[in-house]
Amino acid sequence: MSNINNQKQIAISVQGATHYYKVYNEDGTVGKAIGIEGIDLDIYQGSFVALVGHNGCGKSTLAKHLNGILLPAMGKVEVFGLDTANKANIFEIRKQVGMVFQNPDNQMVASIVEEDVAFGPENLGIPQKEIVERVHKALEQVGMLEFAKRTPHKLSGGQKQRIAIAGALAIQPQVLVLDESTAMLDPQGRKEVLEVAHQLNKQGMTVVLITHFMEEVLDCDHVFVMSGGHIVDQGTPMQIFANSKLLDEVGLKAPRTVELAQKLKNAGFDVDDTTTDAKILGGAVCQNLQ
Amino acid sequence: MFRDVTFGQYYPKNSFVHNMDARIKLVLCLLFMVGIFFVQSYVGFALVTVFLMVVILASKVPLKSILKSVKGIVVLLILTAMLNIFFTKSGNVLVSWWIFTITDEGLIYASKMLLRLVYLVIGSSVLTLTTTPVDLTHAIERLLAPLKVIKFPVHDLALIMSLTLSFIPSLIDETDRIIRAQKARGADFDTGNLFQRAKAFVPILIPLLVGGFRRAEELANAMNSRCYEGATNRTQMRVMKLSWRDLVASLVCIIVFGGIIVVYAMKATWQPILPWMYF
Amino acid sequence: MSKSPVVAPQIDEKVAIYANNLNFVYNPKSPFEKHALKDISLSINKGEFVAIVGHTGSGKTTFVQHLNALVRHQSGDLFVAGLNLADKKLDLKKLRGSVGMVFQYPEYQLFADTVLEDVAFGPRNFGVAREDAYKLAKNALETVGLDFEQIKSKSPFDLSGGEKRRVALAGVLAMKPQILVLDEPTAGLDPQGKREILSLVKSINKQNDITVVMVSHDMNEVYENADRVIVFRDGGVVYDLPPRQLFKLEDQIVSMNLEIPQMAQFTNALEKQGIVLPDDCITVDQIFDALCQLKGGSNV
Repeated sequence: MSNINNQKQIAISVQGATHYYKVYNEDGTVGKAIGIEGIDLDIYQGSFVALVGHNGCGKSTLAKHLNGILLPAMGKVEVFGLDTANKANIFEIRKQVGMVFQNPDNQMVASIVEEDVAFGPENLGIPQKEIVERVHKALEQVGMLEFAKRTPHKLSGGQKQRIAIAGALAIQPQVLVLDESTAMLDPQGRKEVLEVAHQLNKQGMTVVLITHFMEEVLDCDHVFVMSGGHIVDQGTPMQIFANSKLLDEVGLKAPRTVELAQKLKNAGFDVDDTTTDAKILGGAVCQNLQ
Repeated sequence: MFRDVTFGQYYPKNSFVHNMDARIKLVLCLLFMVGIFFVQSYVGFALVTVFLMVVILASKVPLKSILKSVKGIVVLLILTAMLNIFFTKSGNVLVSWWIFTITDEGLIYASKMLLRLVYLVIGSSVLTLTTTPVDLTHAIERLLAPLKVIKFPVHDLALIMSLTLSFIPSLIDETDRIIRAQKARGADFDTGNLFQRAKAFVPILIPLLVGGFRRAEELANAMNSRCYEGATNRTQMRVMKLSWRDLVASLVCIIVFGGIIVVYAMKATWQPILPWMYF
Repeated sequence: MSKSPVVAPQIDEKVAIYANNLNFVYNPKSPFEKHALKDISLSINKGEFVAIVGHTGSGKTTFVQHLNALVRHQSGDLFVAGLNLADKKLDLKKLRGSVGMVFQYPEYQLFADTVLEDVAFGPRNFGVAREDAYKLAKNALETVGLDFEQIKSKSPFDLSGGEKRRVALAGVLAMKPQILVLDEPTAGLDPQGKREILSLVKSINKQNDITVVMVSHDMNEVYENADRVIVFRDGGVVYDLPPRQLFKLEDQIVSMNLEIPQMAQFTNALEKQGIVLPDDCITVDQIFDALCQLKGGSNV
């Protein structure tokens, strides 16, 4: 985990961003629904940040503002000082912010792994030799080098998502946004993707993880909780978990072990209520009972 | 259940033909397909047969796999043969029954046509057995590149082919899943009249279409996020390099089929001097 | 082919699913041959809630698709809802009406103009008259906790993700199945959505006495809901135990690359120290209550 206090430079700054979706009412009129409203947040360079919330809370809408796929109707989003609303900046912004989406099958543009990873650098007009180097390095970073010549279709969900991450890395971004990239994976696949994300973060990459699995945010520096298009809470994972009433209201839940630890602590057990390891908690409880 | 589309018919081997440049293979295959219709004489057919045998040997693909593709067009072959046999009225009549007559010329003509079609299929299946669809896509893109001058969207065409290739496997999976799910709800695709059967496909087509739009949106976002801005200033990772193989193969093909076409052209004027060409 | 009698003697009234030496091979006698099921023998009683776990390629999906003949029986015995799947003249409609199958992301199979039509699709296929099918649809939609009057004429594509899944589930329940097979019913849902769907499945199981077979990757979910867990590996059944017993085998489970539920890890850690909680302590709340009692007894 990187220390955000050492690098206070802001990578992405969201200032009062608001986005509405069109809604077609039954009587034929067009209304609007809140996607996000008045969002303020700063993402520091080198940090590992999580955006959590129930389905439809606006976290994905917010994610798509971070590289200008969606533009705020009000407020603004700046990526390394570049305003996403300015069309001239978009190319540069997308070079800085790589994004991986939910369904791995829907992101593949080529049917050979290495060619898919090469898509980004090809779009940048990088010389052929350098593309080969970048693809090699990107696949190496996600541990998929041996699959370079294979077809992605036969691979597991976790492997496909790692290829999608490699596709983003080949552009050499400073920020990696994982927009619900673990939502469709099995536990094994989720583990693989998170390990890669944390590995990249250690090497200096800023990571923004969008998820509704609370187990995944345990190792994050900072967590934003969203509901109804707003940020309703933020802090370290443990600060977030401590507010179980709020989590309940927004349809989330702390990991079971944390939940039990908190309950036990409140009931007078001498346990650490920030324990995330069930075995350690079990040991502590034994000492209480013996 | 379905074989992988990315590799299509591809038969993985390390051979002379496999290692040839896909562009050259594609062009030579086209030359072969055109050339074969200029072959008239027995000598010509013998020459093409030897040529094909050499190509097949050089490809290291078992004959069985190649002949499989011929099996696919058996009906077409029979139909062509029948048409040629029954509609050729010239020559000596061998059999005559009701409105059907079979002549010796008809038989010869039909067998030549049959041979041409079989060779055509063999030739093109050697191409697809030794070249992945991905390589073919790249080859087509490079070969059509000159058309960019007249604003033909070569790049977009190639991208569409590439996207299609990468999407077909998951589309097949999804279709399969939807069919199973509707079957589990008692849907019946096998009985009833034509209208009922067509109607039975609605519960498959609608979810597929809806899924298609969902996919398209995510794909567009993914492509945009990876700095896609159309064809301008794009480079390509894949290098296509010509080697000595391509030179040798090209020379051989040009001599054989160039020769055949030249002979065909000369035949009209030089007929009396070169009588062996008839055989 | 199997020469088993139409009704196997071992099967009594209580059994919903019975398999004996069930084998299945994909693409037999070809280079792509794959032995997907190897001598599967198991029995599931009526009204049970059984979870099936295992990795991709373990054979669990092939097995589950046998249950309503989406994958056709090859060899061995298989009886489902009183029908012999080895029977050449198997009544497919009857089988599929008795075994409701909810696939992964079932909302992707919605197609009709209105929710009502979509839910009534199943019963209509089984020859139920339109008005009766609508009644069944109404019942099913109410069972999954949706407001019938409010939702019936909406387009299924205008609903939220959670609602779509409920409608899809209702589409299967409307066929009044005796057995409900669910392939990862909570995939892609947020924690709240997961809890809702699981409690729904649980209540369908308990109140309507429908046998539930659930395939899942989420071991916490399996631990808290299933009466019994069947573990598939390489086409065979390796464990068939109640969850509490199964997840005591920590080393074996980990070696299969499966997770151990957090609360199982916790109770296992306690047991190693000699503190044994009652067998029905599965959820956070149950464990918490038991611990409070223990502590209360010893010190407060």
